[in-house]
Amino acid sequence: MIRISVIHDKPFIWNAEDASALREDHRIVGTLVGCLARAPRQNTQLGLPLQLLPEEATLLVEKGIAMLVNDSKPVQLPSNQRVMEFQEMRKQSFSEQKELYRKEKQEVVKQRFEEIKKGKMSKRRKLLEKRRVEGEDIADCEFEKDIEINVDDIEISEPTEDAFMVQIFTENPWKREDDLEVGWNFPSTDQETLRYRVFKDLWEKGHFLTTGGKFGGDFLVYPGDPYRYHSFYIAVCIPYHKKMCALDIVAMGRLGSNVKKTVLLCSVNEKDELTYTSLRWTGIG
Amino acid sequence: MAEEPETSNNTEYFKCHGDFLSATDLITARQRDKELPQRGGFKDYAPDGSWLQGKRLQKLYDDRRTVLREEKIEKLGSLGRGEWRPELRLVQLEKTVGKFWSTMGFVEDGIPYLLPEEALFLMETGTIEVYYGGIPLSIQQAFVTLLQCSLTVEEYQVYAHLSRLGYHVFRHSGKSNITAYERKIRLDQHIKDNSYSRKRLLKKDESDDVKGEATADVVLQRTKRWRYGDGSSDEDEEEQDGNDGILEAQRTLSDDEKSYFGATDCINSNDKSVCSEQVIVDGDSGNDAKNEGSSVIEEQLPPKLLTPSDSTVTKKTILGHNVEMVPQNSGSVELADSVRIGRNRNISSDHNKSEIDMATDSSKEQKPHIPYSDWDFKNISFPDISTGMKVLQITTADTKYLPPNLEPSSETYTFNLETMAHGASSDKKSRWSSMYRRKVKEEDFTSSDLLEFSLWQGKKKIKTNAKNWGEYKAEIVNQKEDVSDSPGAVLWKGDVKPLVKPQDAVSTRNLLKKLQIIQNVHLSDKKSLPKSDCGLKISFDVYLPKTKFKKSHPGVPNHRICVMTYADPVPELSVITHMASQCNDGVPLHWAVVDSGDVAFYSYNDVSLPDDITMG
Repeated sequence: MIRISVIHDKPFIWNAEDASALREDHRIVGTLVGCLARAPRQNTQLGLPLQLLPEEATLLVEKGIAMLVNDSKPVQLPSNQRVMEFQEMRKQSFSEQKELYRKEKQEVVKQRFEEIKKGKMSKRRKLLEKRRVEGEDIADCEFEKDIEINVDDIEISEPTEDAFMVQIFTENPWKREDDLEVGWNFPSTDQETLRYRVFKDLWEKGHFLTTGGKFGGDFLVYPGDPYRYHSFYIAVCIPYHKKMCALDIVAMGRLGSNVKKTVLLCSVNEKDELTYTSLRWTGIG
Repeated sequence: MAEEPETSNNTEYFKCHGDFLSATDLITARQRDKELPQRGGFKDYAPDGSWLQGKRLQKLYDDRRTVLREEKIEKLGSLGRGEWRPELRLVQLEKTVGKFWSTMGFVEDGIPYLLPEEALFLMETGTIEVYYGGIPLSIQQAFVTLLQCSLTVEEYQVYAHLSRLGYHVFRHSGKSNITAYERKIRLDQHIKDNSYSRKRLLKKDESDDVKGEATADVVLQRTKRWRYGDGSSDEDEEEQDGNDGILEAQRTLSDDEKSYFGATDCINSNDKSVCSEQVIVDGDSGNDAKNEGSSVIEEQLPPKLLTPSDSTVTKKTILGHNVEMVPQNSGSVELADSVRIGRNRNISSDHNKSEIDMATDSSKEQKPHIPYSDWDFKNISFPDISTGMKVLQITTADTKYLPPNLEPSSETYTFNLETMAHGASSDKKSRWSSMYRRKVKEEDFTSSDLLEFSLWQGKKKIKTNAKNWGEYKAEIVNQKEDVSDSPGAVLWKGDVKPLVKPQDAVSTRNLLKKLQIIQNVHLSDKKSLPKSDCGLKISFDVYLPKTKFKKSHPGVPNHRICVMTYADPVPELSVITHMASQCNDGVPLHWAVVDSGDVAFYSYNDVSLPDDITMG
């Protein structure tokens, strides 16, 4: 069961697996709002958490795919056991890393064994030269004597604690206490109810839906994954009996035609059915 | 990814989906790919179930999975360290690594702190670890905790968006008290402008808005009392304390800052000797009855001179101690103050603003003085250049001001008014003067270096039969409006009269000005409405990234941001005007609209329609 974490009245997904599953299996897109781990200082591709639309969260709960978890309680002081466990974990991680470091360095030493040997020989040569200059009588064959070094005896410096890698947890790794009641009261207003119904209906028809704020509508409706396809419709949710002036319709029509999308006016009629009206710019003659 | 075994009941860990990385993974993470997966390329039109499309999609999904799953792994040595302090709602910084300290954070009482949004952003970018109770917070926990009472989620998203792009984003700190002129003459480097103080912001943010309003009301009240003073020494002391209270509410003063601030009004002012707003002249302290008079004088008239009396100038510091300031050259005022005085005379402006101005004035006590009260205007004579005189003689300068061995010729002190006024001497017919005359004629309608007088009607000489000044004036007015001798006079006969008269045809600009019935209004000129119920506030000041950026002295921001959600109604014009005029120092205001994680910026800009003006 996917856990949707409700923080400050907004639904978030903190788990990469869940985020991928939602998109691939359930056609729920959402918006990534965090910094990406491998490139944190750019805005083109963002990382976890994934923020869901309230409509998406409500739909997932309704379909039994996910459950809401109230995460709005600020962090409490950790218990002693937790602190001890954490330190234990770190210590263990460090010792394992130390071992790995050592092995790595040994590998490097083995690879460069020849160079090391050469270096030691030249060092010794210099030393002998010096001694010769000082008057000692040294045979020439001393210079060329082979150095016997055991690969494994070469010293490898130990890394300091600062050199170890640590992980900054994205999702909360600690056990959760009893989940508090989630006060999820979406949809509450008429407009919200309308939006939710439209969302649900379009989703059930097999579309992908995302936020439509950048195109002046409530949702953008895609035939397939937004990564690969452009959206076809801009869905605007309007109460059935709302009076609109012609200028508004012209404005929406213009917008749609400029971006090559169809504007979809969505409302619920008196028979409690969803009706869709599309706007298309067309000329006469 | 390493899959973890099932949790035993003893551990506190809730491990799921490879949350917790083993050492091997951590080490390999050092060499992981830093490239972003490609997202470009054209999109397909519609899904057609083809194998190729499916393959592409699958590759995309796999790339995405890989990238999203990566955890933030850093070397312990390159991570800073902070401690969350819930009672302060700040992160206390214990270890700084890297360059973020030059643009984020502040120091209070010798302890470095980070604002919660800064700390959260630094955690997200993998720069610091924030500990609480001995273990570091996860990003999820930090999200909940750090954004509890500081910024809303939308504001944080805007903050992060801009910070990722490289801007320096600070919480909005109100308008600076430094004028553009002061910036130009680089006085701002020496002024301790605390309007950008982050500590002040925090104190303000921590208390609710209610308290902030109360502070403003208190200030308003007090300022009123000063201006229409009640005049009693007890009152003065009360006001002193009131000053303290108000100043403290508006700023958090550290001890060294306290000595900078003197009293903020001339409460104990001598009757005629008001010199500047920050100095108390402690001559006759019994002159409290003059409070009223002097305060009013201060507003209406230019500042009087400080008479060269023996009155010493005392400043009252915040703590009420008198600090003596012996005036130099019988009183002196800093240059900037004389610049400010004009501004402070504006009663209708924010009382808050003038009050803060006065407080900051006093902070410049050690700056260069320029004596101006040395001049005795009674003995300085200005030449009379009204009409009627043909030649003007100015008294020669005192030789003590001139370089030695210099004899001023009388020519340098003689001005032939006719030449200057008419552009050419009517007597001389030399070639030089006629050229000069012609040249001046061409330039008649443009800016001229010659003396010009408002009554100079050009070539027309006015013949009058007036016996007194009143009649003369009436004649002039009539003459101005008299168009009876021109063929266009018929236009003025009916009920509907033309807006412009032939006399207005001085220049195109003049005509256009007359024709413009509806005046253009600039958003920034409008006075801010006293109270706006819009519930919106300016959230951030944004600065461009610069090498010389100083977080203690950021200067004027390059942009200001107001954050809204998509669900909020579009702001009305009154709201837009109010927000734009809150800090009308030319900094553009942008509106950031957040729609469930999606940030978009909008702005309302002032557009001046071009004037089509040609010369002549």
